[in-house]
Amino acid sequence: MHAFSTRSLLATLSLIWSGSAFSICLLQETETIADLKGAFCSVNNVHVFGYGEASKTQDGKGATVIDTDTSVFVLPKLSFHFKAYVEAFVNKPHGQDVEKGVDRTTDQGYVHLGHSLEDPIQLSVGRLPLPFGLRQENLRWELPQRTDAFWDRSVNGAVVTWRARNDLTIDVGGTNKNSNTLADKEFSSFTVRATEHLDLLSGTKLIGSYQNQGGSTVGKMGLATIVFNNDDMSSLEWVRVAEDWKTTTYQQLFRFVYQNRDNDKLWNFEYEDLRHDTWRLAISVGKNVTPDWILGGALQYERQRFDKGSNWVGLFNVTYAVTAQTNLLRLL
Amino acid sequence: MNTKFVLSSLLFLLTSQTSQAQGDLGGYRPTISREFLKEQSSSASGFEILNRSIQNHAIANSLAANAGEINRTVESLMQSLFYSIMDQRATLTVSDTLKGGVDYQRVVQATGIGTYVVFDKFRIGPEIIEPLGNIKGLPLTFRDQNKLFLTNVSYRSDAQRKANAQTRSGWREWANNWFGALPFLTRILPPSFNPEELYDPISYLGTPFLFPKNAEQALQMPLGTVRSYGLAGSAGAGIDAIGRTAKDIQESLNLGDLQFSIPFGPILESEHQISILHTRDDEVWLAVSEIRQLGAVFDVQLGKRYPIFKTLVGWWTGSIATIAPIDYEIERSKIMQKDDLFTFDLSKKDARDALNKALNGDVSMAKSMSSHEVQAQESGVHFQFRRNSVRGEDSSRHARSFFVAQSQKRARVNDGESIVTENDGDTVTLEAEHAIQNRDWNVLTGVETVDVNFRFGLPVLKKVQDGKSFYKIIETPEPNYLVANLRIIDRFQDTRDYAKSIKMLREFSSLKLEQAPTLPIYAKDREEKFLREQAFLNPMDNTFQKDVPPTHLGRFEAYAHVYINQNTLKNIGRLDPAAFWRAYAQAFGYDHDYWSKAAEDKTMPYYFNWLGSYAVMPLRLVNMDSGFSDYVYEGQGIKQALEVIANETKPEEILKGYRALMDTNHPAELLHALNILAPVEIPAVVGFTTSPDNNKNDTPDTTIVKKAFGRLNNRKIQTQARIPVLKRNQSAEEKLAAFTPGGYHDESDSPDLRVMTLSVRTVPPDPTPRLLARVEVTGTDEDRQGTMQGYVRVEENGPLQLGRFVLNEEVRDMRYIGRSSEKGEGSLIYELDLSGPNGLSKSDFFDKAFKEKGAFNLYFSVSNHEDNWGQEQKISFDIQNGLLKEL
Repeated sequence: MHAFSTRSLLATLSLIWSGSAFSICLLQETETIADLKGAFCSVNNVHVFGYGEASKTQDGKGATVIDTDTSVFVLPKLSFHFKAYVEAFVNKPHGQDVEKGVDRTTDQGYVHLGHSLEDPIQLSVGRLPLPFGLRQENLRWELPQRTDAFWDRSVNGAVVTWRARNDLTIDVGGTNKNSNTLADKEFSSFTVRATEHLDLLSGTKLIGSYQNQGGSTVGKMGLATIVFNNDDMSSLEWVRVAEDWKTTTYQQLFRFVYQNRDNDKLWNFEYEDLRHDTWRLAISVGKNVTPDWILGGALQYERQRFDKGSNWVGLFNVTYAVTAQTNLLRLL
Repeated sequence: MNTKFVLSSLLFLLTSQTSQAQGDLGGYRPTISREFLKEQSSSASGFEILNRSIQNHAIANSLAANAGEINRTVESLMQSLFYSIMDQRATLTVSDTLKGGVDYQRVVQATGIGTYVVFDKFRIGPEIIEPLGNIKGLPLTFRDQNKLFLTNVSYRSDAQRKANAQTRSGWREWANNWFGALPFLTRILPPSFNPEELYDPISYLGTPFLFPKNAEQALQMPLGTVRSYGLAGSAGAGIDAIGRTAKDIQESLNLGDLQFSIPFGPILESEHQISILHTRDDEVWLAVSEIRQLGAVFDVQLGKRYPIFKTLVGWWTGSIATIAPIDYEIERSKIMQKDDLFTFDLSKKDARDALNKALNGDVSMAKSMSSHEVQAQESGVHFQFRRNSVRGEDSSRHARSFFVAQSQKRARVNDGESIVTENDGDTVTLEAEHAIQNRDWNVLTGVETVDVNFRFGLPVLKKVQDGKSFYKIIETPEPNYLVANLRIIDRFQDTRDYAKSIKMLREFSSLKLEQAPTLPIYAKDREEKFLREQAFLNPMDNTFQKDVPPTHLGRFEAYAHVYINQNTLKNIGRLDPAAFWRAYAQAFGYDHDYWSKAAEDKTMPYYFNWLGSYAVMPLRLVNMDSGFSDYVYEGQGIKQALEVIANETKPEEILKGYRALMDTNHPAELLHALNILAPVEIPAVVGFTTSPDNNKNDTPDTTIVKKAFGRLNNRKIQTQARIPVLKRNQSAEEKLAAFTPGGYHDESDSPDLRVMTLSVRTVPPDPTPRLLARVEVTGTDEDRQGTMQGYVRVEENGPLQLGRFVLNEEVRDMRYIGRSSEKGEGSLIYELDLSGPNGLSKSDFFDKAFKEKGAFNLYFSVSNHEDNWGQEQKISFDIQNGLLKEL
């Protein structure tokens, strides 16, 4: 394992990108999971981005975001994970004055027992997202007011993962008396996610999810498929949120995402359809100009179903990515 | 060896040697060469592959009508999305109770060796809308309608399509390719998309007018093409329970918006058909067929059809996407079939006149001209045979469709009598058959097919007395055989599928198949890479965690034929029951010592296993493999069947024994058990066709595995025991099968590619390197006189495997160089420039690769005659620093 190194292999950019899925820490060729004892991995990104928007509600936005995804392995099968971001933004709503502000969020801070590559049963406890659907990190920040119903905030709870068979994984998560700031009330919730692993192309998963929050007879259900083909990835996800089985006023999402990596470029194509609301197409590209610097751009078209309005968004983004990896035991 | 060949060879060697001096740089050379083993598969491969999918005329002509409301075929998803453009239906309301209907349909079957059978069908006829009446509130309706139909079955390959395209006018070719949309779809869609489905809509629309009206038009049909017309449909009625009852059930089951239906009813179907097949230059075959089917059907469906793309294009009605978790049909019927086969030598006037009449439905002239041998020789009209068959059949279909993944299992088991009348008399055969067809399909990798077929024929003498038939077995020196066939076709096989296929082939044939290597499921270097890359993965992102996939190998096709002598089966039937259960347990991998006693003692595990067969039946309804063995349930039936075969003397009873024996869900285990019990070796043969998908991104471990897979290509392995010859009734069946889609086997000698050598050549003063292909093909002196054409398709070899990414495809005349001195007679050598001034019309990608780098898949086939193309072969190679490396 590296004594200490900073490195950025590849970072991605989506429309408004945050997250660190493509900057990764690596084991050395001679190392195994047992060598994770004392390992420290921190993937950090600094983004500067700005976008212009042609819509009835928004003119544009500029922001600087710093995010981190850090893991410490006390033992190979006992690790701590921390994920957070801070955003300083300048926002210009249409026809209104400029807004400035700073947002901070701790997404994750939990302890994990077991290792996801080796152990059939694992447990995570702390602040974490409950398992549901795909959780495409790079889409999280898009139109939060509309996707809120389909996106789970992190909660204080626990997740048990059981690799029931070689081709079946079941995740069960639960939380009790979490605060819901949007609804100004506490809520309890549990989720179940079953993942069937198929030998198609470079690996394919079929994922079924269910979430129940206290008080509703149904809650949220979802089906998704994710297909890996060499370095490419495509996914199709369906989510429905309903209060009861026979309602006709449910909310529903269809989302298709295709990512294609070509040498040092990452293309991202996305189509999203919200029932009785909008459909949206977005294409973005990120390119490593150096191992640590990424330049990117994106274009989005959104069509409102009711008022027939169309929104265009053009975005430019610069990211500096720093990955720190070391073994703390060797530093002592 | 002529002078031109010597000079050319010297130049070839010189350029190779010069470049060789540059050294072997990391496996890169100026010349690479690949040898293709001669095709050794049995001559009946086409028959065996495809005749299983569309078993008889009745099914072939009513695919849509009989295949159920929701699932037509396994390919229905892609057809829903794209091919439904070709499947169109129009109705014209004539009155309140009557409509006129017209429908078109196209079905394409891949043969597994790079060719396709395209089946186009046009139907027209009245549709009665009103229910005929009511039975206890349930509407009584026509199950199917009477229709006049016309069909066109043609054989196509990529080479043939391109060769035809180059001789057609530009606008026609443009139209055939849907004004550019087809090449675009081919580029962007997954491998399950078959461009043959959409190609040439003009011929497709011409289906109603394609049936030849006279001998001249018959001779203009491409070789191997079958065209038919006739009348088919039902004269009976069915009870359609979609109405009130089904709605009540649906309500009570709380199925949401899924639709549930249980149609049940008697069927009486009939079909009259005249078919014509162009076999050789001046020869055509004509078949006159009549089929009647009487029985009952039970059909359960649960599903929902979603109209999609409905508003995409104003004039287009859109497509249907189907979710149908349950689609189940069973049918019991009696089938009566009559087939007459005539052949016509159209170089003779009498034969032309007789065919002209026969094409209009009057075969009396053909009959009279062929009634005596001398007359037949003079006229050129030969009566081959008449076959009358009567059989009782049980068939079933279990299917499920989840939009992106579907599976279907069809099975039919029948027994009956067949009388073949030839000029020298009648041959009566009692026959039993069991055919199982398993198809799994997904949107990414297309279809995987596993077909199994058992067949037994018992020649008998028949006597009819007081309306009753009596049979007596004809004792012949050559025994009768139970023939079992297995065929596996998978165009996207990985190491796990491969292991399953080899296991099944081993059990089925009981051959050790030592030539088939054991391949590791996972490439070790990839496993290690995945571990290194994902060790630090945040556990909350585990949906994006990549599993190490089994190594993708490429296209795989295998067949196995097993011939079990009836005397062997009799001997097995006389064995002690304990010996049977011991062998049967061994075939299933169970504790054979335990089961040799447990089955006779009827222990608790015996009853548990027996009851388990009933418990898993609901899963069978949706074609799900529970992994449960049916060991006891089937074992009992098989043991009884073997006893019947051993002890019965009445031919009808013996036939029932064979039918019961072959009616199994575990054919490989059954055959393996019989092999264990057999006192002598059971003749068997297994053959492979493999084509690895080599990729420049392959890891070293993956490359090793793919090479081992590729070495299996064209291997044929058989027992020491002699493979028996087919009997006369089976040969008649094969001839008739030539008229069903996929049944025709081209007997002409198409040239085959034996060796392909690619080399880099520089012709001074031009310093630009050129790519040259030299090929050795099988052929005769006659071929040498004519023109040999080469079909070349170049595809990008890269990480993007989802599409075909065709860079260029072209048909070119090749330069004759000479005979090969090493390969003996029949090996002709030709050359073709792939790049440079005389190269392919578009070859800039090769020039670019010589300057920079690039990897390609090159597909090649050769033809000595219009439409007579040999098997397509493939070579994958990489270009770097102006040198070549085979991948």
